[in-house]
Amino acid sequence: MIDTILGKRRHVRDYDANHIPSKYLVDSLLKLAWHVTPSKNNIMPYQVNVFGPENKKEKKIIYKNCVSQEDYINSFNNNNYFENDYDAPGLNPEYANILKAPYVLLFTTRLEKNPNKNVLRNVVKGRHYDALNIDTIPKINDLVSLEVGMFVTALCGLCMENDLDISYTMAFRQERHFWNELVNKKNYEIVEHRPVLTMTIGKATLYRTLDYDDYKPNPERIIKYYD
Amino acid sequence: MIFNILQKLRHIRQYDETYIIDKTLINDLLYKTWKVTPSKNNFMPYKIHVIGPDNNEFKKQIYKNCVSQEDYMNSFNEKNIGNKLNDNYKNILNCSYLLVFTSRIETDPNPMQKMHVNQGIYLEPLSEKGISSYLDTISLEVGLFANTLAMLCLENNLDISYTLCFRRDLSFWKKLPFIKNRPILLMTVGKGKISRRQEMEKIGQSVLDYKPSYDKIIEFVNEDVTKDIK
Repeated sequence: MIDTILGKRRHVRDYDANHIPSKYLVDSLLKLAWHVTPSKNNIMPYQVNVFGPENKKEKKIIYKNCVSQEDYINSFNNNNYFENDYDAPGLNPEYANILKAPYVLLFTTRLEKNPNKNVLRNVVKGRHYDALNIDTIPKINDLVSLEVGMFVTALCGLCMENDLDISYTMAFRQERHFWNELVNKKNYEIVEHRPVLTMTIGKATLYRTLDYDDYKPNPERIIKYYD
Repeated sequence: MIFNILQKLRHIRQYDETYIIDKTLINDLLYKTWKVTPSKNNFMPYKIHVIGPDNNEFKKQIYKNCVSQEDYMNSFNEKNIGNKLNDNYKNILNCSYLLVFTSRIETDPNPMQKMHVNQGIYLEPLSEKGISSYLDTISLEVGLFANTLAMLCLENNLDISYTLCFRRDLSFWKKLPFIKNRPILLMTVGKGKISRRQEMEKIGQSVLDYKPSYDKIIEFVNEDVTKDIK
């Protein structure tokens, strides 16, 4: 049953502009995902920044950041002749969903400044937590990413159950200065530490076409048994 | 349904060691997870080493590894408590199945990936150098895989636990020669008997161990979300 629900997920290229999920629904699904997602030491060292239907400017910043990362990363390939034309009228189809989605979620690393009482008690006893210190938080980048992966799996399932589509994007500039323009209502930079993942939510009108040459490695290559 | 299933998730300290899980069930759940888990460019740049019920020696080595990491981490606190709080790792010793997720270099890319390389696209999972700068993406994808597997296990009345406290350096994994790439996550599967939550409740400490509030984690940016939330 779970696999049937999650099996409905497909990468979205275009969302329906006439079908805007209510903020109430998106907020409710996020609450449920927050409730059931585990976190090491209950710290949840990440933040989910939600850009709604009106945040067009912010979505454009995120989109440009993704396209720019594509150019940057391809410069490591010696055959590189694939470069984005920023003046071209069309959108890069891989990232168009960011501009078209009613909701864009940007997950970022979060420093915990006010941990729960159990963590505080353990610190006094002599335990160390990288997630509590600005100097050590970069050491847990992989852990933060892993926990974000768990959060979005729960959220994805909840969206699928409610007939909403989602897409993930992991190609964007990591360096903070690429995110300076993205500020909240208090004019604070949203990406204080590191961007982790972009996720879009809406009702799809177009999915990425399945290509039979683009298959996953078979399960025997991924899963090894030691009886 | 998703919510009701995931709500059953508890960190397990003691599994029922007499409970036998049919290997075909584990195999089936892993296959279903593989089938529905997405991956950037379809690489799945990770491997899952499944250590079965009879492999106690491997489990013991991994348990020691976790305790050693706790010692190491706590040495950064002046009052260093050492590894006195290692009850959280007992599940590694008494689980039915222990899954070790590691990174994986793709040596046999699919035709689409090959075409992309020829077009001038750079794909990190194809080289050791690329994979080392790709660890965050691999970890995120392992999170996608593991939580899907967790849901399938819970749906089938099995329990699971995650452990993220272990030595990442491969020099600490020499007694498990099949671990050739960076370990990312430990996950145990079995029939739970005692959870961490139950033990904390017994001594009246569960109230101390809460998550950060929803408002600390989720922010609707530049919008008054209360507008249409009644």
